[in-house]
Amino acid sequence: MSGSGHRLLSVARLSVSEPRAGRMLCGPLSFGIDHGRTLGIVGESGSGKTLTAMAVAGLLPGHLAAEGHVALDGATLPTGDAAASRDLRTAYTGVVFQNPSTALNPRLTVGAQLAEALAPDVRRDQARAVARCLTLLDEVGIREPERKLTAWPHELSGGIAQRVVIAMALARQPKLLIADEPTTALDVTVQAQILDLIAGLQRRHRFGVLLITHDMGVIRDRADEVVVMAGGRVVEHGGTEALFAAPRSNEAKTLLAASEFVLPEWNDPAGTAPGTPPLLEARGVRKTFRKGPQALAGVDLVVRPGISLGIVGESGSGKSTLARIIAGLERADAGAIRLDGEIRRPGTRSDLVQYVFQDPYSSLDPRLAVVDTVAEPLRAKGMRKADALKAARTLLDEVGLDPSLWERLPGRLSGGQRQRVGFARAIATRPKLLIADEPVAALDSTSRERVLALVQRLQARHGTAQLLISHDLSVVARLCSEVVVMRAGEIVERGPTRRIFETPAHPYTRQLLEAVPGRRRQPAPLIETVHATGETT
Amino acid sequence: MSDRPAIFDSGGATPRPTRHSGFSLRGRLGLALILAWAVLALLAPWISPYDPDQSDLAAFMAAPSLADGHLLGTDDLGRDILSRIFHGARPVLVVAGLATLMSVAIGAALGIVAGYGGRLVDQVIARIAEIQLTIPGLVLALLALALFGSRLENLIIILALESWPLHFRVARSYTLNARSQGYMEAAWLAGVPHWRSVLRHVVPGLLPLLVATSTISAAFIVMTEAGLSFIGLGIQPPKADWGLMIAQGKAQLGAAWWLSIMPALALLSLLFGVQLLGDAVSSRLSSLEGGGEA
Repeated sequence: MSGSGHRLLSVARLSVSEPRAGRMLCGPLSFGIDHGRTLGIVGESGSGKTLTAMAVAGLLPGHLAAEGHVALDGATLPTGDAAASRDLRTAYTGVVFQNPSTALNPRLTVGAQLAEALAPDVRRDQARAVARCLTLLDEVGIREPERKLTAWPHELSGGIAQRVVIAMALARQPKLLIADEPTTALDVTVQAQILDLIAGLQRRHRFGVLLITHDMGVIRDRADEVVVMAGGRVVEHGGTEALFAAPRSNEAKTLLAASEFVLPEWNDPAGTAPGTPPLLEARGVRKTFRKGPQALAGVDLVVRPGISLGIVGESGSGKSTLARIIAGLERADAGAIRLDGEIRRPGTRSDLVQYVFQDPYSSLDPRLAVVDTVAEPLRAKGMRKADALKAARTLLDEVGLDPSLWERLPGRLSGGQRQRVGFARAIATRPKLLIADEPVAALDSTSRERVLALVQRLQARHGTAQLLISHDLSVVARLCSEVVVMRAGEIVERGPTRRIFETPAHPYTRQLLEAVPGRRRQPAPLIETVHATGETT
Repeated sequence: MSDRPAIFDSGGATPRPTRHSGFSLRGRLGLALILAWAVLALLAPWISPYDPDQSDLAAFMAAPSLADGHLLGTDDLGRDILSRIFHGARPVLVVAGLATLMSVAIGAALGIVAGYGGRLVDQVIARIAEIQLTIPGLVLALLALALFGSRLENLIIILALESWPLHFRVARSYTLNARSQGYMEAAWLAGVPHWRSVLRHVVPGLLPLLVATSTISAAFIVMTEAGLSFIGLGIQPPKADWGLMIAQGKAQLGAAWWLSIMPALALLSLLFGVQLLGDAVSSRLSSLEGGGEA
């Protein structure tokens, strides 16, 4: 694919291996980027896309070795870890990392970290260094850059922190910006802003961008050319539009299908005769955390039996707090919650409600076998050990977890598998209301697809009412018949999913809908085959 | 087709080899030293060549030699030093063992209560621990032993009371962390009683940490016990004890070095063993935390 003589970046037969274990991790790969263009590398987690980017950036961990030819603007970059290669790379490339909170040193102010990233001659002259830092912060769209210079990383929101990371990457006017999942850790609306920012800077400075992502929507919006990776190899390579129009490889098709923002055929709320008494009724729920802003400013919420209600909003909108209050994990400052008609005392638990946690890693005890974890709620209800274990196995079978994993510790499970265990534990005691807090936010697209299919299946089988919290509108569109949109501790809009998605009334809802990646360059015909892909267990 | 494992793999998923199948060499060496002293102390009445308290005025301050049966020599009252070292291991190990166990038990129990209970309980216990930490251990021990008499059980209690804040801190921070984990919240939502949650989800993870802190405590306690005996507030003569023997021999250091040096070497080897074991345990723990569960 490296046709034109002098590309910005050209990579030939690049491969990454682990010499000690004697195995090849990815490659050989060849690709290139022209000046001012964007190449997207897309693939599931484990496909080797981050390794590739880190090999280009010269940031591979010590036990891995890269081989092959990497040339930047005509100059060959040594792939070894020589000092020369490091100098070339610091001069020509900038890297934006996935998680801004780990990319910034918590013990240095923003200004100190930015100054560290400047070229040595600028850094030596303090006045120039400060001026340059301010320009950089201004350029990445940070308001009041003077005040932010002395701010600590923990005082920044995720979006601002990522802007600082971008400013650091730009500090030496790189020719190539490597962005490794730059928006995965951020909210949807912030995601769009960050991607817009990178695109704007790219237009102004004409640098090339190597964009690593698992999200085809992001690729569709931002990349000129795409490399699809799977299992450490390139499975497809071509222009973005061509790829989206006619994906050739199965991997590309799967990724495409998983990322389509398709409004499903609306399953009109079944079994919701208006007269049925609500299962959950929350009135005027307020909550303010110590030393924090108001998390909930008087929220009313009604969930009818068997319905699936989605709560969407950015992080900090109070949606998780609301869910935790309903579950009894948090106490409200004011307001009343009725479950099945009965007033619920704050901070007490109820057998009617169970919860699936966002983080699949901390939600399972690392020292307890999967089957014991699922059996725990049953044993707490007084079931005999043998019976509880038997029931737990049935549940694990129901959520589609491979039987070979049942006696294992959670450390051996992937995020998606852990989340299945979380669901099995939550439905063990047959709750009437299942709260799932961002159940797929931490998963890659394939496991996400499977977990969502599981949620759908569980609801169809048990008719449990669900309260699904997500910042991802496509998740809510697919699973919920009613939606509540939250912002800054208040509900700004509520109604049937279809109405909200087709004719959003509140400007914030419209903003949320527009921020969904993949909608921007969306050509008219969408592939309507999403529903068939997920049902493999 | 099942979900991809979280560990990075491209194609062939070869499981990471289990590096930490056993203890390192230094850990085993440390354990061997401790166990050797424990066996010698246990068998002291049978393996000692002489009665440790029997003075033999015909052979006082005899130098170590293979010829006359006093392998490590005799002290200024003609008592066989080897026998006294064997017997002297007993108070050291009893005090160190019991006091360590006691301090771990106190520290862990209070730590779990503080970490799991409300803010008030936590604050109260944490303040007590801090007060305890500000008072120099030796001073407190001097005072208490002078007040209540230097009996063995007093010695144990005082040494235990001195070392609990270390275990308390570790147990408290571990419990605080575990408490906010999803699995604890899930257990609560499922109706698991608090005490059972603690036993099932907190204690198993805490135990290995406490093994590490207890070796630190044990080394401190061995040293302090010897120190207290040395200044006359620990084990009382004529009982055999290493610290006491060192103290009694110090006047004769020029004329008969073996009186002090022999028990000092014994003390040193025991401390060395405890430290080696402690090092091995904590490095094993940190490597487990680093990569074992990812």
